[in-house]
Amino acid sequence: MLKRTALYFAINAAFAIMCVMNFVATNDLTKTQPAWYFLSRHSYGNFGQIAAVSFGYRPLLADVDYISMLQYYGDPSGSADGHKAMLGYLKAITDAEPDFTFAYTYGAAILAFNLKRYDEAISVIQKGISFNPSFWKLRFYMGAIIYSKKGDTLKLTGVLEEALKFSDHPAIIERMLGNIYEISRTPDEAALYWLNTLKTTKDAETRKYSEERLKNIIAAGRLKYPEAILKRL
Amino acid sequence: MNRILAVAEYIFKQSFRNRILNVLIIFAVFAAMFSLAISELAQEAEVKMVMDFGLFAIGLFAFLTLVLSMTIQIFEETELKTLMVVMVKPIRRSEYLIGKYFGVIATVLMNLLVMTAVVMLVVGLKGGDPWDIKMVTSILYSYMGICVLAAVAILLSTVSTTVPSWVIYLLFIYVLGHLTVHLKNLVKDSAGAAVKAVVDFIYYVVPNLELFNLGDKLNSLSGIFEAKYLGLVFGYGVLYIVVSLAAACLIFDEKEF
Repeated sequence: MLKRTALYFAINAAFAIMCVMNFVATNDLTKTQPAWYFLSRHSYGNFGQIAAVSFGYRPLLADVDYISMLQYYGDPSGSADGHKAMLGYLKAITDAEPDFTFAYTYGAAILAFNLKRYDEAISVIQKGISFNPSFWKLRFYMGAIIYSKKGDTLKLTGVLEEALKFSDHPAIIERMLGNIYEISRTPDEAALYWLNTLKTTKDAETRKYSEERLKNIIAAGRLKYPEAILKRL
Repeated sequence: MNRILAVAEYIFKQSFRNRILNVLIIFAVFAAMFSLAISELAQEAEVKMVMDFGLFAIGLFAFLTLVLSMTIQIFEETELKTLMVVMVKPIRRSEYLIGKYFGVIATVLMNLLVMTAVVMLVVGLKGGDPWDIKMVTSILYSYMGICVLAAVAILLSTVSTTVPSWVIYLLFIYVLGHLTVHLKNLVKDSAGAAVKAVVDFIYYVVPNLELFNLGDKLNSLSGIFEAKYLGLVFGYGVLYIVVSLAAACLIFDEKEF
C-alpha cells in the first residue's frame, strides 16, 4: 500500500516537472517562430496548411509550392501575361516556410532581373528579411535589385560579383552577370567568364546557356585572342 | 532486468517474423528513393527537398511501424490469447509491459536506421552533407517523439478494449500532439475561460509532439538547435515516457483477465 502511494506521488511529481518543462520549451519554441507559425482564425481557408501542421510537416508543403512555381515559370503559356502569378506563388511558399531563404533570393532575382518587376522583388526580399533578420545575404540582394532598378550597372556588377563568391547563390545570378559582361566588357573577358561558368556551375540550365553564349561569341569572330579560350575549352 | 530484456527480444523477433513489417521497410526505402525523383523537379533546391522529403518519410514510416507493430502485439494478446501464456510465467506484469515497450521501440529503431541510411545516401548523391548536424539531430528527435508516442500507445493498450479503438485513440493523439501549441495560441486572446481550461488540459496531458518536430525548422536560423532547447525537450520526453509507462503499469497490475 505504502509502495503504491509512493509511486502515485512520484508519478504526480514527475508530471508536474514535465508540465513545467513543456511550458518552458514551448516558450523557447514559440518565441523563435514568426506569426505564421501559428494557426489563426483565418487558417481554416488553407486546408493544405492545416493538414501540414496536423502531420507536423510544413516544409513539404513549401517544397510542393516551389515545384509548382518552377513549372508555372517554365510554362510558355504563362509568358502571355508576364507570369503575373509569380508573386502569389512566392507568397504561398514563404507563408508555408518563411525560413526557405533560397526561395526569397531566387524568386526576387526572377522578378527583378527577368520580369523587371522591381517593386514586387523588393517586397519579397523585405518579407525574407522580416522573418530571417540574421540572413544578411537578403540585404545584399536588396542592394542588387535597387541598383538594377536605378540602372547603375557598375554598382550592380560589383554586388553580383560578390554574390557569386557564395556557393548558395541562385544560378540566375551567374547568367545575369555574364549578360552584363557581354555588354560592358571585352568579348575576351565575357568569353572567359562563360567558360569558367560552364566549368563551375551546378545548374544544368546555366551550363547549357553558358555553352550557347560562348559559341555565339566565338562564332561572331570578335575575340582578340581566340586561341586562349579554345585552349582551355 | 533479464526478464524485461527477454520480453523485449521476443517482441522484437516477433515483429520481424511478420512479413507485413518487412514490406513496410521495403516501402519506406522506396519512399526515400522517391525523394530522388522529386528532387529532379526542384531546380537548385534539390538537397533541401531530399532532406525535407526524407525526414517526412522517416517520421511517417516510423509512426506506421509503431502502429503496425503494436497492432500485431495487441491482436495476438487479445484475440489469440497469448497474454494468458505469459501471465502464468514467473514474470511481473510491469516487467512484461516495459519489455514490450523496449521491443517495440527497438523495432522502430531498426526501421529508422534503414531509412536514415538511405536518406543520407541520397543526400550525399545530391551533393549535400550526409552528416549535416541539423538533419541528424532532427532524425534523433523524431525518434524521441516516436518513443514518447510508443509509451502513450502502451498506456492506451491497457485501457482500450479493441484493436480499432486503440488505433483511433493513437491517431487522435498523434494529430492532437502536433496541434497543442497552435491550439494554445489560438485561444490565447479568447474570452472563454472554459475553452482555455479545456485547451490547457489538452496541452499538458497530450504529448507535445511539436517540440520534437525539428524537421519542420531545419532551415531556421533561430535557436531551436541550441543545447538548452534540445536538453529541455529531451528531459520532457524522458519524463513523459516514465510517467506514461508507470501509469500503464499501475493500470495493467489492476486489470483482470
